[in-house]
Amino acid sequence: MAAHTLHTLPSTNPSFSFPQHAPSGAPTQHSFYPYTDNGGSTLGISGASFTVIAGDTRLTSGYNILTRYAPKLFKIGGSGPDHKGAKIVLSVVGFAADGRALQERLDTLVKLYRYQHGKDITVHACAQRLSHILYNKRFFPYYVQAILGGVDEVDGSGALYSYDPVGSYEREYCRAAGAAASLIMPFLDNQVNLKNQYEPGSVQGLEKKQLEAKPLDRETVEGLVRDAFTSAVERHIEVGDGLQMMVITNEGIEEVVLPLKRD
Amino acid sequence: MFIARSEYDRGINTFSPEGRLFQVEYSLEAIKLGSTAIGITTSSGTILGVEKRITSTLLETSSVEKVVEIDRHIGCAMSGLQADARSMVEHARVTSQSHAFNYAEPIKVESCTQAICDLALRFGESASGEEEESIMSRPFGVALLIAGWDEEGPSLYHAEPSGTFYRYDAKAIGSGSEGAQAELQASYHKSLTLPEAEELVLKTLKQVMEEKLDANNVQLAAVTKDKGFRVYGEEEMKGCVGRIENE
Amino acid sequence: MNHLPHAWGRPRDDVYGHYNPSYLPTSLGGTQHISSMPTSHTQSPIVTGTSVIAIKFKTGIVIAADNLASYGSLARFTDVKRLKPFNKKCVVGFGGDVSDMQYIDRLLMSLDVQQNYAGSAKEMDEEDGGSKALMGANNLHTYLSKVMYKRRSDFNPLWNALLVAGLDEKDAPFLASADLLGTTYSAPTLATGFGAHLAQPLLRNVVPDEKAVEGITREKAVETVRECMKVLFYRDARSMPEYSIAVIDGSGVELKTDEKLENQSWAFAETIRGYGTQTVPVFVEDQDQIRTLDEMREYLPEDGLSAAMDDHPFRTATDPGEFRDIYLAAAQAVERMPKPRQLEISFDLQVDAGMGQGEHEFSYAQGATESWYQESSVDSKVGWGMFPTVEMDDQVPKAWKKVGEVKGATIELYLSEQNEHYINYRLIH
Repeated sequence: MAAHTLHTLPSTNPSFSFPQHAPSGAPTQHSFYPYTDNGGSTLGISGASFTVIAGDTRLTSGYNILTRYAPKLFKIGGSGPDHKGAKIVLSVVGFAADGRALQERLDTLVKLYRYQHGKDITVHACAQRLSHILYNKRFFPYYVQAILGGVDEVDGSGALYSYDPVGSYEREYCRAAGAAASLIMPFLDNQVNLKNQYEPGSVQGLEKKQLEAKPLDRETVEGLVRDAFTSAVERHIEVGDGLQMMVITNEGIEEVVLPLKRD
Repeated sequence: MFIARSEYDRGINTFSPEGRLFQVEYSLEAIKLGSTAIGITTSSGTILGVEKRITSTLLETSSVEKVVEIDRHIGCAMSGLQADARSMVEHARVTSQSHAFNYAEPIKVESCTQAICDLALRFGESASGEEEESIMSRPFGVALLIAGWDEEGPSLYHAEPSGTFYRYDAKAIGSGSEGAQAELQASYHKSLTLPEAEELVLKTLKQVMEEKLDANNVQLAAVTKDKGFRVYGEEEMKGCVGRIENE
Repeated sequence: MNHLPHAWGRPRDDVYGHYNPSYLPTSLGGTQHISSMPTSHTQSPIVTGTSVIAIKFKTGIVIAADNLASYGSLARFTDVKRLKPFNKKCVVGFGGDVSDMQYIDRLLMSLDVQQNYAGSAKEMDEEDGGSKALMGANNLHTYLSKVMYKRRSDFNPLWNALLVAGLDEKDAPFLASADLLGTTYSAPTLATGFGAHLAQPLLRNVVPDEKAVEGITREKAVETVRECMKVLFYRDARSMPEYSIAVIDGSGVELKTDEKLENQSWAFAETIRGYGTQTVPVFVEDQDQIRTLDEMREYLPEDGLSAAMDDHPFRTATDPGEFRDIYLAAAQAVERMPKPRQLEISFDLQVDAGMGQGEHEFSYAQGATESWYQESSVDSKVGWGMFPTVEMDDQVPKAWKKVGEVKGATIELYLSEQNEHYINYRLIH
């Protein structure tokens, strides 16, 4: 019986990003699965003196839109309920409940850090701490892809860190995460890191000279972010409704929410 | 010296009616029996100096370790029960490493001092298996001078068994501390250079030590931005001692 | 026969062998010691409640859920109140496992007691709207979501979907959800379970975004929710027509637990003939026998199809059955045609998106697929979701087994999107 179902054509078994109940003759053992994928996408780009982090605001469950406004970007640290004076932003995409729990933990630890050491945590230190939080829960991971952004306290440059669910991390110039990461990341590779762009008129073949990536200015980055999301919305059903964007500079965090298509 | 002070002497965490914790006060007395240790901050670093009591000519003087490293950028000098200092330093080292591990940055000197003082208060009479089991049955009998360099520059802290700590420009602890502190008070100024601070430490120690000061019965250490914490070697010690003797 | 009632309905030993109780604890005749048995956690809900729906309006929230607790497909308990009021400014609506609901309700009771000891209740009695001292619905939601997330992290979930409705600490309307995974979200309209599919789109029509909340009155909100409860009862097999509805606003909680659905109309049910993609069989026997519309006209009866071809070609079928009548008329006309005959009624089904008939040629509303419009759509795939479906396949009247083609004749059908089962049709050349 089971052998039958295994040999169905691939076209009749499309894959989904959420669990499907596979038609099977055997009785299905119903057991609790503690994760779900709430869709959505995030991205971050760092510049010479700022970092932009953005995410859509749609929250999904399967084909349902649970809400059109559920932020994936969180200010970390600062004081009071609106994080006054914060200079670090965390974005989380994946399983929303874990994302929320992770955000609360990091925020608490960053606030405790201020009390214990009498100074604001640096993005660098916060990035390492976040890695440990994720790694410590590696046997029951927070099912999220995190991106952390801020401004490097040493040289004033934009700082951007990206994580896998168990804490591997890396400082990067740009990163897309979540449902539409595979749509957005190649676009960023081309537009930010100038991959596959060559000096006009340079020799063909192996000697071709790749254009050198330089930090982009703020208008260009914000434009790229908007383009990345409007495009992703066209091709991914789990992305849409609103675009939340935070720009972190030495002066603090500026937040904008722009509309995206709701279809 | 102290007659039995009544039952408030027995419970170490019991206040006397006058509001005193006798065992903590006695622990401060223990420090006054210890060898003298001095710390001086300058704009380019902090100098620590300790007296080594050479109780026997047969003693291998290099085995008397009273200035130790806590982290690359923090070191400390001690006075009092040295064995107690071991567990405090151990705690400080673990805390520093844990901070570096968690935050990928060196711990602040003040935070490190705070960690030591948190440990200093964890004495008491709780039974084993109790929720907050204290690790010491009595207060520590040692005081520390903690020198370091962090993003705020050089600093020097004095940590007591009572769990209090203060930051100093220059501080002396141990048996000769009273005289030494008076000397520091008179001679310290903000524009001291590092060599001047070395000399002031040695001169002050010389005044309060019972034995005649030489390159073997004192030990200097420094914390600077570039080299971090560093205990002076034999040759360097001879050079420093030689400088004050020539004056 | 065994005359002892105790044995009735039980598996007989002579048929099935002696029951093997070894997996049971010793107290029940088995071999398992309770202490050595593994802890078991909820793996699936048992007695369940279905959807909960809620909508924000200018000054408050309306929330509703029916009074049924199902045991699988059995409507087990028909008087279960699934809306629980809390401290005079919140209501929690529960979907999912009923025993877990009762557990959470107990948590809420003890939380309420703690809150009262904290002194909030005393201030409530004071004149000047002491409700500000009460715990807000947002606080309650945070509490419940932490409970839910903790339990899911312990792999011992509370199998519920909760809606928390009420006023926050600043007495502004608050509506948010928490589920068995600890996922939380907020929106101006929320619906759990089947309601997420059926009611949420209707609610969002009324309140598309947070801005629209300002324009919604209490009456409009209540009316919308009642309408949704009706739709849910039509389509959700695990629902019932008795329900609870609560309105929370500045004047407190008004909770009614014995409401009944009114003005039900099951007319749409008449048109349901099976589900899924359905095709019309094609029997083209001889291409030479294809007739023109004029040739066919004489075979048409006076009523029915011919009536559709007068000067005003648009007709509105208010009864889905009328749609079928046209087909029957056409079928009869075909029957009267001399044999051998070839006939194909090709029709275009269009969704009238409300722009008015004839103003637009083909306006496909959301969900209508290309197959709705095909020039020679004898095998047109018909039967999308909520629309009245044309009888097809083996349920087609016998006469339809032999259909041919009238060259160039097209019946256009306009289905109204508004779910009222209007069908506009015309026969065009």
